[in-house]
Amino acid sequence: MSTLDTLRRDLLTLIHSVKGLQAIVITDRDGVALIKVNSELAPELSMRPAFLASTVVTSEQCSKLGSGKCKAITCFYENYQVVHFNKNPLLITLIASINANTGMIKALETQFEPILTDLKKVVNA
Amino acid sequence: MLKPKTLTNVLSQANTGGVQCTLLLNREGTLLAYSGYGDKDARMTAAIASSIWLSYEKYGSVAFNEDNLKSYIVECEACCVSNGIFKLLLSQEGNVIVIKVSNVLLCMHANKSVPLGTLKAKITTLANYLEGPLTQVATT
Amino acid sequence: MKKKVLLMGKSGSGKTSMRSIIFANYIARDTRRLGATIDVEHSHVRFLGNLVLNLWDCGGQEAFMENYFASQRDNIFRNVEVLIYVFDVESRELEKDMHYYQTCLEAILQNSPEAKVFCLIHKMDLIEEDQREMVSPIVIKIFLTYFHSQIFREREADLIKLSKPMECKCFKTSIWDETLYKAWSAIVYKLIPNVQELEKHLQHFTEIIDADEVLLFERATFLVICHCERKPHRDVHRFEKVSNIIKQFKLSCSKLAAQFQSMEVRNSSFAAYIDIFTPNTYVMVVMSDSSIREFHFLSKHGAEIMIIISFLASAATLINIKNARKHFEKLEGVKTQNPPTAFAPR
Repeated sequence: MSTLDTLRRDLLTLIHSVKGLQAIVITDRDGVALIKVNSELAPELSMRPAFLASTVVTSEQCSKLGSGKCKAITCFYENYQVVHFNKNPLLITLIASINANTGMIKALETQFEPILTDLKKVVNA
Repeated sequence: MLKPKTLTNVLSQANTGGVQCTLLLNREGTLLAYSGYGDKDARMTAAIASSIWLSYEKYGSVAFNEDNLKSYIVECEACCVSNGIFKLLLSQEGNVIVIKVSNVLLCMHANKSVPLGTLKAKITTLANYLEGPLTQVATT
Repeated sequence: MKKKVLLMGKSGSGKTSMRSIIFANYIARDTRRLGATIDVEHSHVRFLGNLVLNLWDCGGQEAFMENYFASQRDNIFRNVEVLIYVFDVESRELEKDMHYYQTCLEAILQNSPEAKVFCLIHKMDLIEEDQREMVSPIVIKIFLTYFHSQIFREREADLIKLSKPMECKCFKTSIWDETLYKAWSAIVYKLIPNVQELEKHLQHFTEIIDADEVLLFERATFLVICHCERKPHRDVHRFEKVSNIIKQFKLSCSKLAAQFQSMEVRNSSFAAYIDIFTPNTYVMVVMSDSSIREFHFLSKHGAEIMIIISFLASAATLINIKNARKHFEKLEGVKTQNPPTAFAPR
């Protein structure tokens, strides 16, 4: 099993660990997806590179919002919530239904550390 | 009508327990009212907050089939510049929350000591209180 | 609603000049090009939408004057709402001027006893250029002010005595400064039918938005038709000055084919907003920053004092103006969207 497959499996475990979490996408600074994992419920459009790129730009703007480097952004919509973790140079996007527990989603942040380390290895290889 | 005294009074009531400032802005990013400790960057904060709002709103309408953006939170960490000897603190840790009220935006800036849940509860209460009156004013 | 306004006075006293400046967007310098008025020039000036001023600019040469008092007497002096009589301050034939004025009053008293009478002592600016250079400007100014008010007081007393039983209001005017606006504002103020109601609503608006002062200008002439003051201001001539300055500015805008719409003036202590209000008016809102900013002193743990700064940004005031606009439009009963046209000869 390749490293990428292992990573994908790890991410799927994360998705299943939080009820309502539908997709996890890890992109680079240009909005290009490095790895994408989603449950069948996830809205397909939300994971298109075009939109992911726009959020990258936004997260950079956030840094100017008064208090230093932007670490995370959480957006609440009518039916969905979107959480971004800014892990320079990568950006993690989590898409969940509005009913999902926001605190639990945010708590996933620490679990991404080993995954990101592995991912960097893959990218550099 | 926006009564200056009443409105700024309501906004200033939120500035307790770690909340730095509260501002009201329109969707174009123009500042309407401000209350807080110091006012250096109020206008810039308003402009950036609305710009982020607009871009996430667009994201929501396309990516999630016309899903309306209700609010967003930005968490920031301290930003330092170090030359090896001195460390200059450029900005402090803090969170910014923006919520829609009628057709304007309410923005709150708090330091890290305020838990996100508290911040969200605080701004929601304020937003609910302002919703009725601001809808009457019907700003565009 | 049409109101007939008679503009009379000796030939060359400046009737047409002032009319052109107030109602036809002339600047003072341009009035040199105006020739003498032959007989009566009628003009309709739409003022505040449903109020139309029917201006009768009566040429002042003796032959015409005699004619007005004799064969045209009924035609001229019937249904007059306002008589504006213009005196040239440096006229050498004071006796004759007074005689004509008296004749005119008699005719008014006979035909329109309800008419309001205004006397304008005009050209209160004249002093020979060469004399100006001999003395320092400040000395001239002090001297002139004293001299002018002295002359004006004498003339005013004479005229009031002469006008009895009619009541007459006197103004000193000059086309070169704001005094002209002051006089005309007072005149049109008397002509606006619902001015008390307008004032009441303006007062209410001012209180709601915590403004220091709110002025309402007629759109074409920029005359102040209504104002509300909550914080006393030391300059009593400020309305006319603002009228004068903004009118000039508006005219220079139109030279660039741009229509003046709004402006915001701000310094450390106040902010003033001038904006199009109803189809017939402009509004000026003055907010002092001290009332916008509030300092709350909170003592935290007994020792530390924190300062909360609160303020309402200009966009909020503009929203308030916008919201008041609907209300005042209703009050004005505006239905036609015709822009107010000035100076349309019949």
